[in-house]
Amino acid sequence: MVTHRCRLRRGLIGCLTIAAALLGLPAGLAAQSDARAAPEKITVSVTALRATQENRSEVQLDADLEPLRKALGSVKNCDTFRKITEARIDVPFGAEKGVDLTAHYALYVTAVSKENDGRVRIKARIEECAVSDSEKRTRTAVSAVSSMAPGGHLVLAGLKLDDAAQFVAVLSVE
Amino acid sequence: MFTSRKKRAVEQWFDRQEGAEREESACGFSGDAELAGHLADIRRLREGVKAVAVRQQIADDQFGAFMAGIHERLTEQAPRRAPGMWALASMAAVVLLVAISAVVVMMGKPAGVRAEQTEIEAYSTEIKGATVDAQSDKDTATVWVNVPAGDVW
Repeated sequence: MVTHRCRLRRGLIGCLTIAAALLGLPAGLAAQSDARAAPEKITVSVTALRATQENRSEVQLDADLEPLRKALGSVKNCDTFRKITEARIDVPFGAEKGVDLTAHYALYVTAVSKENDGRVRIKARIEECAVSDSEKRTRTAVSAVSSMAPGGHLVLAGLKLDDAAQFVAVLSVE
Repeated sequence: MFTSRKKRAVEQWFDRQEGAEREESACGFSGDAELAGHLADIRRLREGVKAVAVRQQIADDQFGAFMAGIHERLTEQAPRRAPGMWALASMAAVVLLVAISAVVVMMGKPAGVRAEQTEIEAYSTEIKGATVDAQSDKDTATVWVNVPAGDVW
């Protein structure tokens, strides 16, 4: 009888051990998956550019803009790009962070979500501000929601910088 | 019908007779093959019942060997069995099934080819009269605002 109880107890302990191991495995994987799927924040790199049409035979860029050559190929009617400024902003998920790119344009980025396929959904908004009669006015020049692939770029273009140039912002998620 | 009645009569006769007397009288049935066969069947049946009815007894001179056999079996180690093995195996199988299901559910869908593409899902502008175009290449998405000439704000 005692032997039978011992065997039952050992069997029960074995069952519980296996159950704990097998239930702990997916829990650990899920935690790891969650950590991978939903980091606390993303870092967005933005480069603000002055784009002009100078009738060149090929696109001309500042030397440090070479990594963006392919992305800037999608900008219509411009063949010369000069860097105005660049910035990196840390954006927590669910929050919006902004950075001034020029005296008139500011970029605001919201980290919306991280998808299961590794892409990051962001909302990017360029606010245009003007001051007249000591009154500051703003409007959303352009707003876009984009699923950003790793290493991918979001180009916001077409806004006026001055009479001869356009304003272009290139975003990427690091 | 007639044959059946004869068979019953033979059965009653067989049970009434005893030993050698029965064997002598049975010779009278040898002419009828069917009744002789039936008689043989009855004899075999009755002998079988009689053998079962006899209780086996252990004589005094057999008792020592009988007890020795009992002692031998008592000291013999019982074959090792694992009474909880099937319960353990079935429980482990259930837990494994649940764990695999949980992993499949929690891991989500596998990444497809869309994972490498940067896409525009929505776009807008507040500039009056402006239109917005969007295009997605493999790793570049472009949103282009067409600001009307003479945009005064």
